[in-house]
Amino acid sequence: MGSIRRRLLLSSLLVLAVFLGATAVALDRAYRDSAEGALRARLKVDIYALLSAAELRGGQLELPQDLPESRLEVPGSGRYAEASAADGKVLWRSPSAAGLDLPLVRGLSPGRESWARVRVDGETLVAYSLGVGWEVQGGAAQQFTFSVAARLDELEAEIGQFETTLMLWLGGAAALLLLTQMLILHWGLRPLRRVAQDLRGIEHGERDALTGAYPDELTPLTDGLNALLRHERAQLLRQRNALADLAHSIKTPLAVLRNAAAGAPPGQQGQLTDAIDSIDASLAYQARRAAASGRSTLSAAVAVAPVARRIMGSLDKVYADKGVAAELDDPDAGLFAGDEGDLYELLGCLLDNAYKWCQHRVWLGVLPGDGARGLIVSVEDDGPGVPPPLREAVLERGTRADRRVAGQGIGLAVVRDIAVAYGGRIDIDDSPRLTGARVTVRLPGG
Amino acid sequence: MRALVVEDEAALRGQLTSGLTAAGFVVDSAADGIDAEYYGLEYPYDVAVIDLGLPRRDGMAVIRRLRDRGCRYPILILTARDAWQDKVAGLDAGADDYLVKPFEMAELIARLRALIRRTAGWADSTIACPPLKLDTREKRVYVDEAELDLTAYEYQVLEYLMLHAGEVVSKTELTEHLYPDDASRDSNVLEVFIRRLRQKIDPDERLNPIETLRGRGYRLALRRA
Repeated sequence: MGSIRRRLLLSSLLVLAVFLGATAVALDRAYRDSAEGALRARLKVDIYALLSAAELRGGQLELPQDLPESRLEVPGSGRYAEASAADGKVLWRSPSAAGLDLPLVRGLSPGRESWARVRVDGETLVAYSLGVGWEVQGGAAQQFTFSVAARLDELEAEIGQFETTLMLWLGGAAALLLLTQMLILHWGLRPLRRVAQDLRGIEHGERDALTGAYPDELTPLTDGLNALLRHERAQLLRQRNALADLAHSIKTPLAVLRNAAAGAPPGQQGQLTDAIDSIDASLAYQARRAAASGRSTLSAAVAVAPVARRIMGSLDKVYADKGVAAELDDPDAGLFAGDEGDLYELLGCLLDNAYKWCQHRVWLGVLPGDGARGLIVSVEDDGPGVPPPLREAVLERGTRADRRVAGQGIGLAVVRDIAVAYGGRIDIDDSPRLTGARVTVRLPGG
Repeated sequence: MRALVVEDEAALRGQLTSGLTAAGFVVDSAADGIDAEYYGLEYPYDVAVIDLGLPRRDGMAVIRRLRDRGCRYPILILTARDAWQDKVAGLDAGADDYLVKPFEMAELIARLRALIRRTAGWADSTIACPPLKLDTREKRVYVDEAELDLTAYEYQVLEYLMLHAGEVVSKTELTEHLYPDDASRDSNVLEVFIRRLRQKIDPDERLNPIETLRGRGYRLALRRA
């Protein structure tokens, strides 16, 4: 759908173009009309001036050397005049029209006037002709047609200048309006941007709800989102607590049974212990699996390094006898886009496995994966490694490559389930850095 | 070794008490967080086993309180919750190890011994102050390569002294860590044990492994390996 900003900008640009275009046309027309009107008025004034300067002497029309409009005296000045008799014979022509054949209207009856546009020598002229009747001595009237013509490009130049000025002003106004429009948009859309930013903040774990002061139009949306977030968290917490309670209520009696089984006759002891272990293993496995929440769209991202360091600190205590040197390599401060408990489970199982099998060294690498929020977690150790035929098997639940080291035997299976819940995968191969195994979990970006 | 067992489920508490007693621990037990805190602060334990889900006061809070009040002995968490977040929280609160229910008694005892040894500064399960050598896992004692034949009590006295080699251990401290109640704490009995130990370790009286510091107590005079 594109962005709201682009839509608003495009539409306002369109409105602006149409509106300013119409304004330009209207103003241009008005100016052109008034300019032509002014020219016509000037031509009329010229004709009347000519008429008053003209004299009829002995039936001959005479015009003075000194014409009322000085431009009529200069050849090629663009202002021309002529006088013609009723039969169309040219009686007088202004000096400016020397050598030109002006196709002007002639032979008008007194009182009639005519406007025309004529082309002479590639120039357009506006011509005004007026028929006059001249009373001679004796009461008889002689008819003449007086014509004045002016070059239109004079007008065009004037109009052109006006148009340039007009475009300048309208362009300026358009730019100003556009800028204002953009500022209004920027200001008007700011609450939306803030919501988006706050949502990113939630994704990055900087906040856990949309708490800003949002405009009335957005509050239904933000309230809804907040309710959704609260609900999701509460549900996860309820589920976790229920599982923890269940585990607690079953596991303590299991511990009692297990210890009691140690006192059973030797034949039954193993059977009982195995049965109890199997109940325990499936309980632990299902509980962990159910607790793995999977990716949620608005879950806060958790920084990997602090969690990894806490787990390493804990494991350093538990495996203190081994004196494990564990190293965390997290150059980009990786973020886990999911639930903190899942991250604890994921890293806990991976690291515990590495601490269990290593000689002295464990390496944890955190790298960005595919996509914006993808993550790759690699754990390597200097232990015996996992031979290729066993690699699939150790990811299956209840399998332990070696029973000598105590453990639930579901560690890596849990890691795999969490990885799958997040749409990722787990791989086991040889450690390129150390001598043992490398377990890599790849989580895709959201 | 004196151990505190905190578990609200009576049957399991009974099993823990008898299991640890059989392994040579002197055991006090508590059924809730308030009692646990009282015992934990009152007596000088060598190790404590604390269940996290306790009535009246949460196990985590008990551990935190004990650490805040300066109790240094190792604590092992017993938990039904095996989520890593819980384990890490427990270890961060001041516990040293954890065991998820259900567990094997042998595993628990091995872990407790390892914790005690580690707290005393021994990384290995064999602690040695030549020519004396103690295998804490097998509970055997050797002078050079010859194994000594010690009774359970003699072994415990020697183990305690060796774990605190070079330090002065008062008679009260020894009896507190070795006897379940005040009634059997007779310093004469202790002196008898010490005398017998000296005879067994050093029949020729060349080593003088255990010094008596008049009015203060005993000290293992042999140096750590």
